[in-house]
Amino acid sequence: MKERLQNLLNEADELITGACDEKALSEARTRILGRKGELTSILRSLKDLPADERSAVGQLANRIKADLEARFDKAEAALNERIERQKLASEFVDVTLPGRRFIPGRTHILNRVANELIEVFNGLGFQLAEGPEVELDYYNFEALNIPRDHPARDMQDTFYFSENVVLRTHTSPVQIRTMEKQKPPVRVICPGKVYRRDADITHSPMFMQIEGLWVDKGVSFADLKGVLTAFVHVYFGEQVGLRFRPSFFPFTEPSAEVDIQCVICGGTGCRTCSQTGWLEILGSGMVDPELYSFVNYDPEIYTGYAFGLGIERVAMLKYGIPDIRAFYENDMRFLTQF
Amino acid sequence: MLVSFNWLKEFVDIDISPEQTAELLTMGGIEVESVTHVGKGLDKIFTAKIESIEPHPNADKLRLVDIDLADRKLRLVCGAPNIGEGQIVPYAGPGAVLPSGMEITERKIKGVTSPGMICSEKELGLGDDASGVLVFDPGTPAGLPLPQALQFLEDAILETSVTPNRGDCLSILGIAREIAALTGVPWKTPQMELKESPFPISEKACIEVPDSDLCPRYVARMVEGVTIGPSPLEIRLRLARSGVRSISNVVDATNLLLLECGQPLHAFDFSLLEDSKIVVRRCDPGEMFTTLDGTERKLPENALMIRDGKRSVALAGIMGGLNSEINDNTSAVLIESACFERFGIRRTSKALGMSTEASYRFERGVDPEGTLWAAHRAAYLIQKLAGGTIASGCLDVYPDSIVRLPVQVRTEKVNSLLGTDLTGTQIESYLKRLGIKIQDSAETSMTATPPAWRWDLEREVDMAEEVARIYGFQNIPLSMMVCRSAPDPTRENHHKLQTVKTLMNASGFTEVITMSFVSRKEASEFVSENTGQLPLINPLSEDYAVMRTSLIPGLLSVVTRNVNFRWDNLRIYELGKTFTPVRDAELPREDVKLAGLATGARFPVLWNMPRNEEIDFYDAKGALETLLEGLNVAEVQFNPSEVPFLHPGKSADLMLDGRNVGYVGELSPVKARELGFALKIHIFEILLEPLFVQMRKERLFTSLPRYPYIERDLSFIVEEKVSGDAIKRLISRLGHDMIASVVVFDLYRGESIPEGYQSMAFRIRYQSEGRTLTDEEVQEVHSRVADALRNEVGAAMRE
Repeated sequence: MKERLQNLLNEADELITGACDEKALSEARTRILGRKGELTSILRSLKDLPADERSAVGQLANRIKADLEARFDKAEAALNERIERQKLASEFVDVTLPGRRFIPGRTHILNRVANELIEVFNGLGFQLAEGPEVELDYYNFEALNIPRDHPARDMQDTFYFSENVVLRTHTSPVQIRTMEKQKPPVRVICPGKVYRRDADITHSPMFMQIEGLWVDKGVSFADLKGVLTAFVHVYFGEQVGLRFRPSFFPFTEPSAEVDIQCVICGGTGCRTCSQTGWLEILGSGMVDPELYSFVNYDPEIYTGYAFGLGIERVAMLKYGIPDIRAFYENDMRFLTQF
Repeated sequence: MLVSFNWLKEFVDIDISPEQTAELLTMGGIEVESVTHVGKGLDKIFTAKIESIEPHPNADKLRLVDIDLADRKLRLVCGAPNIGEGQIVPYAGPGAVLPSGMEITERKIKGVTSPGMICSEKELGLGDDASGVLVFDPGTPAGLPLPQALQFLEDAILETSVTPNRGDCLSILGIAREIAALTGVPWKTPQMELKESPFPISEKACIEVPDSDLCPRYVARMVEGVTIGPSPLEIRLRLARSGVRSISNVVDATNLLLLECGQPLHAFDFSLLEDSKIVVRRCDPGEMFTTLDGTERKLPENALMIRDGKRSVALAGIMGGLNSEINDNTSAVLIESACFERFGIRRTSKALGMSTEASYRFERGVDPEGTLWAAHRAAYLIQKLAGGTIASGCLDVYPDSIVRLPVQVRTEKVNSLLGTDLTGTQIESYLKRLGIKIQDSAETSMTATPPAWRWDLEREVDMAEEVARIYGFQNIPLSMMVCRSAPDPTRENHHKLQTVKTLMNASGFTEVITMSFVSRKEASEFVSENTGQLPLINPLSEDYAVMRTSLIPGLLSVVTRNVNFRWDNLRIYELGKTFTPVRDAELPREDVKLAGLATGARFPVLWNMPRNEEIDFYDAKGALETLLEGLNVAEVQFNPSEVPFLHPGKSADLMLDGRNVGYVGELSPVKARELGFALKIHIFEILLEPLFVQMRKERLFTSLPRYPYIERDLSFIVEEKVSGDAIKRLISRLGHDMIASVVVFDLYRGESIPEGYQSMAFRIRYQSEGRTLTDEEVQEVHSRVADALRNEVGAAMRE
């Protein structure tokens, strides 16, 4: 009897190994474990055994039954898993095809650059200030120390609405408007559109500037150099050198033009930098004390610096755009590049 | 200004290269934009004497020229009109290379072999004149290589860009002074010895300056018996390299001096001055005057004139008159060297729209002390170039000396402004290098008096800038000022605008930036009511004549541009200002608006996207709804609109708190056709400020529903004119607190539905805050809703 039971295990293993599909496995299970199967007949014949053997053989038979059932279950699970795997393997999608999505729009590259600049200067302690685009001559010129008959007016070709009203030619009038409204310390940046009567490959009649102003006790030219150096290093990279050159703006004294090492050639000389290795990027200087007389600040107590940069210029340098007009043509083939 | 390096070296001793000089000047505040080397590589060009000229056998315009090169003679073919026997001309033989890169070879021209050519000024890179061959001064030996025949042939030209405050640097002398200051070497002026006749000028001419407010100083000298003729080649070359055309020896002498010392001069033919006198006064009202360019001009009020005893002879400081200019017969020359008032010259020059080398310098200020030296040097040069005798002495009307006021310079102030640690001694030495006189010198302060040629040094801070320039901006340290950080309320508005952009981008709209000015027509086309326009006095063109009143014309121009390149599925927006004149106010109102435009296919052509769906009203409205939801503004209503340029049945006004804040809709097909668009274009434009105001309201928490909901659908046929919003409101009213939401989930017009009717389906979600609703009570309300729809809007229920 014991031997028959042992043989049954071997026979079951053979059948399981041999079963290649669900049907064969189920037939094998019926043959071994079914009502008419081998095990049932063994279990039935237990009653014919002598009483002293019956209990031991009975226990063995039940253990083997449990064992057999476990083996069939396991085999079935394995088979099912194999079948499912085969099924999944046959179901597939082309993962290289594009997904289903809604295509988002983009912010104009100039505004993106403007935002980046705002972020940098915000981080350096500057708040935001605004002013009108249609501006009084007083704010755009007079209070910036550019009197009516001064040759400095030649530096900017102005759009006029009347003798007293112009399209602002720079964001600098916001300096005066801000200082009129508050006492020092003043530290603001003023981004915005400005207008000059000029149109060619490097001039657009409308363009964008960002102006910075910091007035407080003890602000020096060294601070101006410090903050602009920090800006250039953050925005264009630590490795980019810069230089300050004396220049002239009616509203700053001393005035400095700031050049950065050419970002295209790294300073060795190329077409973008006219072989000089340097790119003019912004104008700056110490606020001319004349301005303080218009806003009732005491120039003996307060000093400050101001700077202004063209956003197009920065974007052109950063992205290698050769023509300023591209920003305002709004060609989707251009806008969607960035 | 074009600065000849050779010329510069006559005024300052420098032993650095032109490039180093350029760098020095640029870093000192005089920007040098380029350095051009000229006159190089001409050692294979030789002087040659034209022996004889014969006609070319086969060409009318060509001639055969026999030249003598001292060691050999050649026969060349030449087409230049100005050749003459006995002239010394430049000859380029086979193998010589011209500055343009052209290599000379022996060529057959119309059957005659020419072993080389005679060159023009332009071909040799010495100037712009290409009208004929270059002719050397008589007496120049033949057979010399060009560098030997012409002194200063090789030169470097520095193109400087001088800022408006530095009128004193608009000359060779000025640049030389600047180099002297930056390097610490002294500058110098050329030696000259005036040979005067015994007859004083005061006996021949007189000067009266009644309007001395506009002419602080007027100096005159006289040279008699001059012979007008061309200037020597060297002078012509020098002028050409400075960008000035050679005219005649006398005029060239004045131009040379303008370039050399920055003092504009004028030479009158003295014989043409009536009564032998000069009167400097304002023009007569309405006076007309013909300047030497032959243009008759109406003089603006207060224009300062140089007059003789009877009439105007020059427009002071700007241009001479035709009636007294130097001509071939001129014998006596009256030289004017004056200092005109800066702003007066500028006003007249602006009013006449004429800017000349002279007016440019007077506007920026000439050296009032230099006028005298310039007059002497002019007499000297004219005599040198044109002969004659110099009348002794000069006439100098200078009633009130222009004095430079002393400025107190405090060491501590200079240092605190610059962030430096300079000593008083250093400051003093830097200022002195600029010709500034120092008095009361002490470590802590000094008194500084600028030289006469500097008009821009009036304050301590001006002196500080000079100190910084000479010390070198590069030597000023870097410092980072510590600032107390504080909350920044100013970014709020900026952030809102960024949110708007993010939301528009999320709806698939790309931002554009268009010009703030538009044409008059565009400005009047896209406003509902005429609120006025803001025209520019001096627009760039009629297309940019007025400030925009709407952003829509800009967006439409973007459509035109992109459709041209066959990019016709567009979703674009712009965020910017429009301008409305305000009565009795100088400045207009500037409103920040958002405008959008959508046209073309709804989806890109892609394997897994719906095909052939066109953008419609609801795409545009949907973008606005996304925006409003993102901004947390719930109160906006969309009402049918009567905006004239929109489709009357497919447009809506946006109402917020009873105020019209914008519109959305299809551009009226009539308008679209008129503008040349064959597309369906959907647009919207809204004011942002009112939305931002609403946005400030905070939204409070509502507790989450605790009991399950039951959904029931209603579908019915109803007249088209019954709005979805009206039905929704009706349902909500009847279901009061049992209805959680109502959505339209189907809308159909067309086949199987009667004309003028539509089939609609709504899904109603019933839910209570207090208990689980039973099917029975929901059914009861649902039936009531259906009845009301039947009775109130005539809906026919579909089962």
